[in-house]
Amino acid sequence: MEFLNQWLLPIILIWPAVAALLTVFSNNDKVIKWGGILASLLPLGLSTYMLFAYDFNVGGIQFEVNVPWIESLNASFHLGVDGLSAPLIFLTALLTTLSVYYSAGVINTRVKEYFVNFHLLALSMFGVFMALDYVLFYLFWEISLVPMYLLIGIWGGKNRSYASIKFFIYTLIGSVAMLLAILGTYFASGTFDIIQAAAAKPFMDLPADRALFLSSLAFWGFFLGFAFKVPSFPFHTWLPDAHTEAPTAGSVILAGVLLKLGAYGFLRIVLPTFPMASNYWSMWIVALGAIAIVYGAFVCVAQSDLKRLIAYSSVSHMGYVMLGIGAAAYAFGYVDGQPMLGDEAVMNSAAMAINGAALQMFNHGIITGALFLLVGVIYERAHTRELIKFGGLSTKTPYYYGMMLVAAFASLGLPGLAGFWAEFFTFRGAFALVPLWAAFGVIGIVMTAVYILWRIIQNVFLGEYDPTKLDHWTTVQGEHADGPTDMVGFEKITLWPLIILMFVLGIYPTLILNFFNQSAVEILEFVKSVL
Amino acid sequence: MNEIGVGSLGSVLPEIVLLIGGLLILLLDTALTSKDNKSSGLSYMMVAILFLFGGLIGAIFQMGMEPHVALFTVQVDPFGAFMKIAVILGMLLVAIAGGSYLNRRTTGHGEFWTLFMFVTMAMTTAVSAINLLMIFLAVEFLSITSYILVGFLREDKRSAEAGVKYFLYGSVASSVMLYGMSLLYGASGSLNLYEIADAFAANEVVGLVAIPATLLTLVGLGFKASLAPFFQWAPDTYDGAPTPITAYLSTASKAVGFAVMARLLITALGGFRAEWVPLLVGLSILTMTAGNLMALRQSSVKRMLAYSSIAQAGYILMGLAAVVSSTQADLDTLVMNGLNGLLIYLFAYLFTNVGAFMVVMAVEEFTGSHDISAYEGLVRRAPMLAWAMLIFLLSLTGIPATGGFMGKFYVFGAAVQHQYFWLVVAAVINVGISAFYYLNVARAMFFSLPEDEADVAATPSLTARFTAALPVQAIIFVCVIATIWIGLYPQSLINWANTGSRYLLALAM
Repeated sequence: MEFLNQWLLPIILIWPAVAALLTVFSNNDKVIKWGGILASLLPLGLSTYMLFAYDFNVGGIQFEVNVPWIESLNASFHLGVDGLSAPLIFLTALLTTLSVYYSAGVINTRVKEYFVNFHLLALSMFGVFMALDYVLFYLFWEISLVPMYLLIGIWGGKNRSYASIKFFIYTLIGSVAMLLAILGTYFASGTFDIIQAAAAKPFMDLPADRALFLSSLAFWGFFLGFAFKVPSFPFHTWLPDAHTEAPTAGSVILAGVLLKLGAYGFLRIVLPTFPMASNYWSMWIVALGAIAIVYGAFVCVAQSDLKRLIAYSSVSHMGYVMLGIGAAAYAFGYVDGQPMLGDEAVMNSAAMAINGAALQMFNHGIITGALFLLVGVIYERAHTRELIKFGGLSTKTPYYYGMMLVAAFASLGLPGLAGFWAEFFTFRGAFALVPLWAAFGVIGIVMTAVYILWRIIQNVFLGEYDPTKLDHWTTVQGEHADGPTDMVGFEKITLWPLIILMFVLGIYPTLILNFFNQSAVEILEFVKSVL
Repeated sequence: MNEIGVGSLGSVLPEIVLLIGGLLILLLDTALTSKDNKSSGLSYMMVAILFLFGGLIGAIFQMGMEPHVALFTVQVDPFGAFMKIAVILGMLLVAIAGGSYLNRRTTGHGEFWTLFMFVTMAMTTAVSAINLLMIFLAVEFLSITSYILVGFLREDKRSAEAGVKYFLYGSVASSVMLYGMSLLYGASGSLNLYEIADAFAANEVVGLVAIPATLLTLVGLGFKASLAPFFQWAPDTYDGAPTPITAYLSTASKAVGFAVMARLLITALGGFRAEWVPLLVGLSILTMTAGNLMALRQSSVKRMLAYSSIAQAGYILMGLAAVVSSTQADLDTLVMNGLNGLLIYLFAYLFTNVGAFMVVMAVEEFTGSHDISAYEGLVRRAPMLAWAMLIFLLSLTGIPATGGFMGKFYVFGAAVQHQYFWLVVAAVINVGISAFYYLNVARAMFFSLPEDEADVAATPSLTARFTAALPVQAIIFVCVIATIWIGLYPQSLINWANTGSRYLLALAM
């Protein structure tokens, strides 16, 4: 166990690279597919073990590995997980396994390249969540662009070229802005270590106005990098295209994990490292988050394409995360010369806001992952996603209907399912700190119910089934079928783990919340100590 | 050692080896009466490669030498050794991979390979020269040999046009540079860079001449490095020249322009830092923006890479614009001094761009075209070339795990350190623009595949597989490995660049 604990993170991280390498040297599609599925099980198993092995009594960063890397830069191969990253690594492993498994069923062209890309994608995502060194963090952050670009561009829909390049360039511009901020932070703090840089209070030794100016620049550099990824309104315009054109498993990873990288960056880097600038600009984060919630929800209602609708719902749902983060940043301020965090109630509200944001990251991963898979299920059969072509599917495909109901209600925030708790905590925290914007955000919750119930459930599933609307149904294998056929084995297997998690976390959110709360309190205590 | 004698020969060892190689080929060419074109080309190429290796070893040997001035005109120092090794490495890569391509297309192999050795020698001399006259001679020698090499495909109109264009622009730039140098000489009374610096430091009135002189001298060097607004020759020349020649023009020859510029500005004109830094910042922004905007509209990959190399020159110049002065900081501990970024960038860019041009050459050999349409579905026809090209394109964009990223990391870092906010904002926007045209090639290579098999059968050009010749493959492989190595574990390169840059910076006042 000692050995495993010491090498846990490097094994999870390197394993996908090994899998990718083996895939390169294999020429049998079956071997590649099953090998890929089996390979993805190891990180899943290890990350599950990691959740159980994380010691709450000790807290903080655990399973740390710190090896010198580029000595003259003082950059090191520094990995570690805390309560914030551990569940996200588990989420990454889970969604990767499910996506690989699902892809094995539906991808039949250029199989080798597909699986190599997928393993590399897994590598980069694990890397971002584990890295505690800016150079390493940036390395994995940028590498994740490339396989996703290829996944969208090669296996995507009709408009894939446009969507993939748009995805790449938007996120690249954000990333390079972040690179500048990383460099600025480095010159101010003298280290590339994420934890030490925060502890060094970059820019704070300068005169007050200069400190605010420079740390604001660094803040906006990081903000651009992360906001493009989240994506926060108004940086979201790449998202609908990329999600809509990506292959199903690509959309699952994109929505499930890649968007979380941005939100994770805010919590891991921006809040602890630049508390003053975060606070100064907190109302911007809050406002952008609240606008995203409402705007995203309204746009959803207007969509005619089912996948595009789900894509916009991500904009809306990631708005909750921004709202929570912004609310917490607002609490870093001073009232009458006293830090607000000194007040127990404010501390609790800020912790709730962070908890809500983090929980929303996790839940959005499983819920939207499931929704994209469900869209894939119908698309493989109907070869269209036009809402107008569907109707009355509940009688034809009851199993599918059932799955969709659970996922859709979870997305809408029905109590008892996972989505509810994230919204609850976010708004509970936000109402106490930034009541007006939180109240504005509530409009989005109402509109979510509209697009989920009306656009998805009613349009697709309820009413009479009309066979003339769409006359070229196939089975999932592409053979001709007389009408919609229900889900088959591999699709069910892909979805069940997500559905189960929605129930489990809906009934007993503490499972994951324990981790997030640990980190939320640690972040806030840290900020309080450096303010 | 500042005397002319046998003892000083070691100080010009690489140059002597390269010179002997070139003369040997020339002698062989006159001695051999049978004009068997095929074998002569191959044997000259072998001789050239052998002596380039010799020159490389000589340059590595110089790394360990105590820095000193030799023959009154050149200086053996870590900075010069770094540039010499980079330049000879680049020429070596080009010779091995591009040699047979050039042999097949040219007549007069003897002249060609002789010139090839001479051009290398001119470059190694230029990077170590500390005397204005020597700088001018070396740069001019480099230019004239390059004009001939660019126009060497006599039957090819584009090659001839490229050569003439290069010559016309080049000779104007050279004469302007010479004028600038004459001003420097007139004001300071010396050709030696250190003495010029001393003269300017001693007499403020005389110093006023330095500003117009710097401007004029920069024209000539900016021309070599293809900086805006002196880059108009570059696209046509790069496009028309034989592809391996383009590969060295855009890497080694450009590196020489930067090296000479760095040495001149830092050593002789270090006192006027406050004047030339804003100028370089402006030139840098102008160069990267102009190169990128024009690269956007190209449909020929070779021409796109030509414009891209202008844009890259803009990024490289950031390093020089953000160079520290030795009075500002403790050089031994400073991580990013600007000049080391320039060196790292040049070194990484060398492998990346030579590799990219070798892929262009391989595709051209098979399809006869540089057009982006020749790259459609390349991943099916030549998967290794396509993946290698993707890595080069990512490196040019500056994605981590490639050498291009490390270069950008260092030059951006230097600019951030000096808080040149406009420069870095321009750089960010430019990186975004550049991704568009680089990835356009990736799109063609990877995305454009006919959906179903019937289409594939109908368009044989999309399915005919091909591979590059073995030496080309080997060099492309070397370039890929070097690009990724610099991206992932650049410690030794950084140390080396630190030594080179710190030495030069410490010399300045």
